[in-house]
Amino acid sequence: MRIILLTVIVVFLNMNLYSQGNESFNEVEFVNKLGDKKVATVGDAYTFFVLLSKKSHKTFLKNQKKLIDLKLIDSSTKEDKVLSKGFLSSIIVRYLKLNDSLMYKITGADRYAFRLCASNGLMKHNGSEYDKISGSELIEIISSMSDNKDGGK
Amino acid sequence: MFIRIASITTIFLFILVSSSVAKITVKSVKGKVSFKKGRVWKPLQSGMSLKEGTKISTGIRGRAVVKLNGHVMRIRPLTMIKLYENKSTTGRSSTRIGLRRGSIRAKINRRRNVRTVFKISTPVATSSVRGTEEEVSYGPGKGMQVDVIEGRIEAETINGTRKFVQGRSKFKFGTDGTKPDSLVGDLADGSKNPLGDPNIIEDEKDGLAASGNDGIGGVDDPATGLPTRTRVNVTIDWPE
Repeated sequence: MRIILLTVIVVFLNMNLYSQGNESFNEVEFVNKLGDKKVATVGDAYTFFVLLSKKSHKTFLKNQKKLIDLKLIDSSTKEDKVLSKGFLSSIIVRYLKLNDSLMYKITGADRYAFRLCASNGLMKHNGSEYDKISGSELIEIISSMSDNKDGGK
Repeated sequence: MFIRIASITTIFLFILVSSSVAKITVKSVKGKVSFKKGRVWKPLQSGMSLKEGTKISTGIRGRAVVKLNGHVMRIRPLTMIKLYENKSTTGRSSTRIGLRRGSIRAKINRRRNVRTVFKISTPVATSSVRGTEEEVSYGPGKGMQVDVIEGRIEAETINGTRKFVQGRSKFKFGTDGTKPDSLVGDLADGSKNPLGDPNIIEDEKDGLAASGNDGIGGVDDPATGLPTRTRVNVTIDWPE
C-alpha cells in the first residue's frame, strides 16, 4: 500500500514538473531556434500561423489540418519543404484578407500573392516568389504582419 | 584592531562597487516571455530582478516592461535583447542594450546633474539617446529603424556615419546599404527636403526654399539652440 502511494506521488510530481514550464518554453524556444535557421521550412510557417490563430501547437499534420479548416491553406505538403516567399505570401494574403490585387483574385497564384504582400510593406519588392526565407526573415515578416493585423498595437 | 579596520574597509569597498550596478526590474509581463542568464531559458515574471548580461526573448504575443536606472523599456513581441550594461554612479548613468531582433520602445528619465548614456545597438548601427523617447526596431530585411518620438538621438553605423535625428523623425539603415537612408527619403523631390522637424508649415518651407542651402543651416532649434542641419557620421557597434 505504501509503495503504491509513493509511486502515485512520484508520478504526480513528475507530471507537474513536465507541464510547469513546457508550454511557455515551446513558443519562445521555437522562435529562438528559428532565428538561427538559415532556411525556414513550411513546418515553421504553419507553427506560426497556428499560434497566431490562437490555437495550440501540436504536430505538423494536426497544424496542417487546422490551417486547412481555417482556409489558410488548400492542400497538404511536406513539413521540411523549403519555405518560399510565394508560398508564405499566399497564406498571409488569406490570413490578413488582402483584397487589393485583381490578378491575385483571378489567378490565386503565389506570384501575385507575393506582389500583394510587397505592396503592403510586408516583404521587399526586390526578389521573387521563389526566393527562400531565413528563419530571422520569417520572424520579421510575421512580426510586420501581426502589426498590420493589430494596427501596430 | 587591524582586523576590524580591514573588515570595515572591505565591506565599505564591496558596497561601493556593488552600488555602481543599478537595479533592473521587470515591471510587467504579458504572454510568453523568457529570460536567459547562462544556458537555460526560463519564464520571465513580473517583479523579478535581472542582472547585466541577461537576455530576454518574447513570443508571438509576449510583451514586457523593464525598468533600468529609472528608464522604462517596453519590449514588443518577437523580440530578443541583451542587457549589456546598467550602471549608475553619482553624476553618471550608463545603459547599453543589444537588440538582436524585433523592437523596443525606450523612455529615458533624464535627471539634472546626471550624465545619461542610453545606447541601443543592433547588428548594423547604434542609437544613442539624447532626448526622451524612441522606438528602435531591427530585422534582417528592413535593417535598423529608429523612430524618435520625443527629443533626439544620435545614430552611428558601421561605416562611420553619424546622424542626429530629432522631432518625430526616423533613422533608417538597411542591412545592405553603405549609407543611412535620407531622413526625408520618402519625398519624391530631394531638393525640397526640409531638415529638422518635418512638421513645418508652408510659409516656413517657402522661407527655407527662398533662402537656399545657407538658410537651412541657419535655422536653429529654439529648444537646444543647435542648428537643425543634419550631419552624417556612421559607426556600427554590435556588442557581440
